[in-house]
Amino acid sequence: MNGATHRPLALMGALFIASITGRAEAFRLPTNFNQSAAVGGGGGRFFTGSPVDRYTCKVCHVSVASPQIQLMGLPFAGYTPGQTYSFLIDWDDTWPSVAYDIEMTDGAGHALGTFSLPPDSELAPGELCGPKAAATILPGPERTLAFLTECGAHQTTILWTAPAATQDASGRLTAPEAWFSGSLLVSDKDGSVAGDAVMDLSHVFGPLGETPPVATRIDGGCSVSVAAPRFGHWLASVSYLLVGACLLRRGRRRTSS
Amino acid sequence: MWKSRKPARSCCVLSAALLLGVVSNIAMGCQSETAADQTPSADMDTFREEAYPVLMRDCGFNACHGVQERFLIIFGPNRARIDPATHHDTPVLPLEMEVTHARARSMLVTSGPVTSSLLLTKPLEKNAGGVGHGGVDDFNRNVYQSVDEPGYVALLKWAQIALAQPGAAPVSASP
Repeated sequence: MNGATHRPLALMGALFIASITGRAEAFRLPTNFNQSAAVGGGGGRFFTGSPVDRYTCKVCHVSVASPQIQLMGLPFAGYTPGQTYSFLIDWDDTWPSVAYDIEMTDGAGHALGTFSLPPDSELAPGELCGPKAAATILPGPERTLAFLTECGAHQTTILWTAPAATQDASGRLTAPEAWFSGSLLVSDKDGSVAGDAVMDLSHVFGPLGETPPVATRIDGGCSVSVAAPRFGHWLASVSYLLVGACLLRRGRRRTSS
Repeated sequence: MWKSRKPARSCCVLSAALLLGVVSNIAMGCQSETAADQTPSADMDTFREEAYPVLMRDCGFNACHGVQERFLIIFGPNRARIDPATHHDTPVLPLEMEVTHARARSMLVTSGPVTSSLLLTKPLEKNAGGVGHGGVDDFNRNVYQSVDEPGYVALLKWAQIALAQPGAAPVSASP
């Protein structure tokens, strides 16, 4: 068959896909956030809740629950300027539809460092939408932003390259505080803003060797883990289990006596 | 007694209403003709181009001015719709634009300069001349930190044009 025969079929297929996805959510594509608000876009607002963006998905979506997610790999204990960190956002595989926007800024809302994606070949199947990475990075230096639009992914891996240290007037090397902000939406896919679950997350951390910032806030049941080798997590889990078992045994002893 | 008087009374009320309607239509017709002659829809054009995108971006959310409970309500795509059956992606409908415009215009009523109107003082940080506003962000900041912010400037530009129109002088709140 030639290309002309394929064209009507392709068009029909596209229309079919458009018709079944038509009831989907307002911000289906990353480009929707940069569209003028007058035509239904975000007008440059990405709803990350960062100091520059200020609002999260909760400003429209009525959250009926606070979902739990795993966030691993960001250097919340302190970052090394210029270093690249790989971090994972993971959620319950049974959730049918998840989207998020995350952003890294300094305290004044300026873009901080850069986000990038690992090569597609290095991603787990749950991090893909078709053959491509499910997450998208906003190009350009104005914002350090990553999004996930709803496509059935179960986790994403993002790389954050911290900014290089700069020299202040006294010749000392300094690096700004990093403000990690985001909002994750678990949609019930009914095309409305009701009945969804939204989790906002924010965490402030400084460069290594500096006093940790006070303004640290984690909302909505976000489970945050500091960057650590896998063995560390395993050891921590075993420790929690042992402590739990001891407490349970102690409780039983008290009951029996 | 009452039963026999009721039709006559209804007739009087109906006649009065019709008369009032005719008179007000004539008055409105004359007024709109005059306004159209002098500044053809500059108010609405500026609103559509300058103020509406800003209101949609900064105010028209479900948790803010995208709900019927608020006097200032902003209708449009991916925000509140007048008819809930309208698809959320459908471009703003003429009626939605008119109602949003009318509500925003009502917020310009003031006894002083337009900068003291609710539309321009509510979203402005107090230390920049604003008044209290429930719509602060997670950082406890009002919508606009200063009068130099582009969003505020756009609203002010429209407000000045809206109030410069014939018959659009601000209604005095003071006796």
